[in-house]
Amino acid sequence: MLRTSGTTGAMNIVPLSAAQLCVQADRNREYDGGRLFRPASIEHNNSKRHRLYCAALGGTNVFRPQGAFDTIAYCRQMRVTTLDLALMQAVDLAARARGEALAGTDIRVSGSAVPYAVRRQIELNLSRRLFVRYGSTESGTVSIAGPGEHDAFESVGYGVEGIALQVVDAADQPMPPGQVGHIRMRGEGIARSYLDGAEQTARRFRDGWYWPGDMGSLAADGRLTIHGRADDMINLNGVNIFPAEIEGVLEAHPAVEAAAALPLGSAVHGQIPVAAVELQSGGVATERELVAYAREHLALRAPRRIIILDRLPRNDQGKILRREIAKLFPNPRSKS
Amino acid sequence: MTEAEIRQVISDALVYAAVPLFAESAEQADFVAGQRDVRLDEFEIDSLATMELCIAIELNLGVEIVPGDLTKIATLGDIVALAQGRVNVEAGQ
Repeated sequence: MLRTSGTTGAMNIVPLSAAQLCVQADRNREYDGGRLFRPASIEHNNSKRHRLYCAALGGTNVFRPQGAFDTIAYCRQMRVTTLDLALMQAVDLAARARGEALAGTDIRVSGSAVPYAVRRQIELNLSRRLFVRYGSTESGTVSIAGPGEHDAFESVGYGVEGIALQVVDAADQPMPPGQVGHIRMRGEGIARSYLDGAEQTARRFRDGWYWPGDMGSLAADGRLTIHGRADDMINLNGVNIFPAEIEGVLEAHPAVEAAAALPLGSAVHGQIPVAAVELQSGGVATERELVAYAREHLALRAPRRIIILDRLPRNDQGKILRREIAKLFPNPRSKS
Repeated sequence: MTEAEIRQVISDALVYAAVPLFAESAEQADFVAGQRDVRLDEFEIDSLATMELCIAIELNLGVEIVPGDLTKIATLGDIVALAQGRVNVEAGQ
């Protein structure tokens, strides 16, 4: 039994049999005979599952030491072969390291879309053996982009063996290469339902497929790129806007460290895109300037209001909590 | 929310929507100061600009205005009055 909540707030219990977990484990063969270190607490189900995979394949789990420690020195000392990081940890570590500090070690990053700039920094400063993984509690690992597969497409690679992966439109029809639609998948090792919550089960497990609620596109060569959560998509008077496109523009502004875009509900317009940003230390910008900057780059798809926060609210995995940000917008009549 | 603030919101929205005649005119300051009214047709305020006006009023004043409300409206001053009336109803005045 694994509990999963993601960032949506609703908690679901995912029942997976030992046989299903073994199928999932087999899709992570590099743990076989290796030494896996994940700084995240074993309380996180992602961390729990991957340690189980590692044990099932005969690998060795390395656990974090008591108190503060230096990740790079600790990995060397413990002869870690695979370092598995949440995106935020990877960004932080790669920014502090220099000159392939963990050359030869597999670096695995998962949890969210990983920007190309972050991948380059990991390759240069930590290790060229970078694996960006896409998966979920319900499915285990679904696809991996390995060394040599990182480029501006920011893809999560090809689907793993045994999982059929599709991108479909609103009528459930497969979409042509490059077009963004709903991701669905089926195959051995994927959960069939939630233990609780018939409503969520009906939504996520439909017509023999598992629907993770992500939007993606498949390139002509079969590589998958994740564009965001379907629930995060902003619909302004019929125009579909992904938070990631707004965030990408704002994060390219020289004063901005990180950005999060989100919808505010509107009875008239459906949803109005807005954003919150965290400035770089020493970065100077006003909310008005950022609104004008975004407008220039995004036109109709621009956030109509931007607030500057000291820190964007995140959970302990580094995921940005958009619902918390929505509460910070001052208009009492905006519903989210 | 004072009338001057409401006028500023509307002026900002038109500049944001890049209504060029308005953005570059001296009338902009006069309108914000309440010294001049502006006819919508005079400044070629189109449907996209109207949408931006409605969004700005909703986000900044908390008042929902549908583009249809604006079809009967000829000037920005009418919009100020409409927004002000609804803000005051909200505030129980």
